[in-house]
Parts: sequence; structure tokens; C-alpha cells
Amino acid sequence: MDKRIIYKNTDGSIGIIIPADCGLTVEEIARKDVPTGLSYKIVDVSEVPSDREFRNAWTIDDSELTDGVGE
Amino acid sequence: MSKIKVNEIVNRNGSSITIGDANTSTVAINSGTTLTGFSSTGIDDNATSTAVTIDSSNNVGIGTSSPDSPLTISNSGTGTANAIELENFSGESSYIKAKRGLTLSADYLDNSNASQSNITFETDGSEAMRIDGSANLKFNSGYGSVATAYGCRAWVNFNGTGTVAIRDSGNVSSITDNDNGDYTVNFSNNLPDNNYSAVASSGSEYTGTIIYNDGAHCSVFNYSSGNVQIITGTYGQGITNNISNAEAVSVAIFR
Repeated sequence: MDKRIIYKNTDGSIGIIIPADCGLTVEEIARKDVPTGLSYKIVDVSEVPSDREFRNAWTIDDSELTDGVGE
Repeated sequence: MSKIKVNEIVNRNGSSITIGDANTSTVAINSGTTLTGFSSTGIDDNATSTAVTIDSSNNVGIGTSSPDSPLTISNSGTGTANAIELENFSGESSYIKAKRGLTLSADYLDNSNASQSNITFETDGSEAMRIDGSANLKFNSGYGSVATAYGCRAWVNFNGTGTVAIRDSGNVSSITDNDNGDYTVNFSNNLPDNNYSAVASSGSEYTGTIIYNDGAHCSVFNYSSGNVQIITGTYGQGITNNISNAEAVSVAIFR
């Protein structure tokens, strides 16, 4: 899939979910695989940095996590 | 003409007897009347008792006068297998063709005896595969005997470098990129518990020359029924402080 699901853990770290071609939609995967209660944003893969040198410094503003909440 | 009552009609000198004309004639045999030693071009009836019954619902029974299905074959004898035998002497194999799906069902008296609900496959007279009454799939694929096959319940092959990407997978809904060299494999269908075996490998290069240390060490932890976590790191330097991304990561779940 050319989509990624971004969420922020309670400790502030960022999780990036890479959906598999499993028959579920990206929205269904988001609701299932984002930790319960955490808000998420679905973005194009091109919006995720490919340089991972400072991976642990990635962040996202809470106001952008508007596409749903993990169930 | 109305009725002619005779005790016997005999064709003489090898000639034939024709009943009915070319139109829509009907030949009826009254209930209670039995034809014996019946033979036609397509049917040779040598049975000594009723072998085939067609009931009022048009169900056909072989060995039973009370067929439950369009075709019911019953064998009340002991020690004799109930069998449908297909022979094809043309050199081609026989096959059973179902146009809208096919269900094989084995059930002994409405779920009352799982040991007699096996579905067994034989080749050359030897058992090759079985689905037993407890729904276990067993087969002999070099095992030496028919044994339960413990299948891979989920698997994934992914690239943990750059923009993390899944190459291919089965029963995996997603990978979570938690941090450098830190990933969670999420299952499409949960496992029954977290007592499964997770096998993982990682390497620096998916193709081409291997760089020995980078990402060549992986650990699996946080087993749960819905997902499992994996960390990849630099081999030989202790994984805790040497986590690194791996280009070739494979995880397989067995139970």
C-alpha cells in the first residue's frame, strides 16, 4: 500500500504503521492496529521521511491526528 | 381398442416386439406388478432384491428404500466399506466435478463420535492425508506416517531501512515501525494465545554482498495473540545499545 498510518504513543514517540496487502482497507487496519485510544493520521508514504538517522526525534502535532482513534 | 389380457407375449423367431408408436405413447406397469430379469440395451438388471429405489420426491436410493438426498447410497452390512468406485481405463484420471462448490462432510450420528468423523485420503492403498474429527489436518509428506501438520500461521518479509516497506506477507495486517530497528508485526487474525513459536531473521542486504554486522542480530519479544515485536541490531556488540535497521527481515509464526 502507498499509505502509512501515524500515531503518537503516550510517551511521545511516533509509531508508523505499514499496512499489508491483507484484504483490509487502510482505515480498517488503522482502527485495528493503532493502540486502543490513540489518535492517528493516514498519509501518503511520500510524507514519511526516508532518512532514519534521527528516527527517535520524529514528532507530529496532536492536532494533525484527526483520522480516527485506535480501537 | 381397449384392453387385451394375456398371460404371455412371446416374440417368435428372433423378431422384436414394439410397444407404442412414434408418438407420445405411454407404457404403464401397474403398482404391485414386478418386472423380473429385465434387460434393455442400456440396463441389465440381475438383482435378486430391490437395489435401487426412486421415491416420491425423486430421490434415488441404492441399498436403501428411504433416500435422504437426491442420491443416497447405504450399506447395512458389516465389514464392508461403502464405496463409490470410479474406473477409467483410458489412461486418464477420474475426477469429481462440482459446479458450485464442493463440501466433503463426515459426521457420525450428529457429532456423537469424532473418531468416526475422519476424512481420509489414500494413494496407492496407503493413507496419505487425514482431516480428523477434531479438525486436525494430518499428512505424510516424508514424515514416515500421517502426522499433524503444524502450519505457519503468519509470515512477513520486509525492508526495515529507509521508508519501511513490506515485500510480502500472509496473515499480517501491518508492520509498526516503532523506532530504528524496532518493529511490531500485527496479525490479521489473532492467534489463540501467545504460546506460539516466532522465528525471525535479519540481515543487512536483501540482495548483493552481505555486510556482516549491520542488522544481523534480531530478537523477538512481547509475544501476544495479536502481535509480536522484533528488534534488529548489530551482531556481536550486544543488541541493547547497537540497534540498527535491517534491509532483510523475515518473521514466521508457527503453532
